[in-house]
Amino acid sequence: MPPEARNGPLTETVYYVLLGLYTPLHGYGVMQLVNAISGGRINLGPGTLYGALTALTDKGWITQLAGVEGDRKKEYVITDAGRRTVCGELERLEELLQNGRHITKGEQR
Amino acid sequence: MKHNVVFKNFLDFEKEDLWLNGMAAKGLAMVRWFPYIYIFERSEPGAWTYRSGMLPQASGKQYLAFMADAGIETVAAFSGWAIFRKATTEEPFELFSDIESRIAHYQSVRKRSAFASYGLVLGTAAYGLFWFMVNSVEPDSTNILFLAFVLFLGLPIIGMTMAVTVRVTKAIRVLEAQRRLAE
Repeated sequence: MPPEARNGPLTETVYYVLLGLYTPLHGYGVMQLVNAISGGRINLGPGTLYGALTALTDKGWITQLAGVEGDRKKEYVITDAGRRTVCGELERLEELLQNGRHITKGEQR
Repeated sequence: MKHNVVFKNFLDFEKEDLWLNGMAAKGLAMVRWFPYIYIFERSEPGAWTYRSGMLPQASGKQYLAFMADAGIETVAAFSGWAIFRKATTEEPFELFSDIESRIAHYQSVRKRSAFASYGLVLGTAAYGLFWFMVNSVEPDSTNILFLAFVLFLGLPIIGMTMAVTVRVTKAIRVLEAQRRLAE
């Protein structure tokens, strides 16, 4: 088991921020992208996003790109460790989905 | 442009948010803040939504720059606190969007208000003790009046900061109970 897999389930915020940073983006770009790919369901608060970006940078799952001189907006991008974390999480989510589908047998709400 | 000035002070940031948004709904948008002074400008009713919160201790300036990039205006920033506003859109404007970060923010608010309560209690108690030591021999009426004044001002403020601490602690408990079942 890779060390990242032992981190336990990711929060929805962390999961989507990591996904959002497969292409380099600045903070506001992450907010817009996550809002779009979740069909408007997730509207990341700026305080929440700032905290997540700081924590993920400390953890080494994302990194800040060396910006152009004078460009105030900081761009972030996912690291290899971050990608491994996402892959580990995907496996966990697959298992959840498979078991859920199998036991409910596709029951409708 | 004509400005409206209101002299007021809040110890509870969420009550302040409610008040500011209530004023904004009436067409009075807060544009400047100084201790005890709020300055408003006329605007379309409900044009702005206000939110305030603590700045991250290590990186307050970066946080404010981040807010500016996200299209959020900092109306006031003072001693680790900031009041933000954003033009009202269909998307509600909240600083925090998950339980985890809401709890973390409340925890830093609680730490701050608890610290303020203890400081005020210690300060008032130290002053009282000092007063008794100095005045036990021959008290005079001016000194008694001054002590009464300190207690008259100090005790309600201590009560209010403690009330904030208690309210925030309860809010944290509710969120933690929620987190046990869902993220």
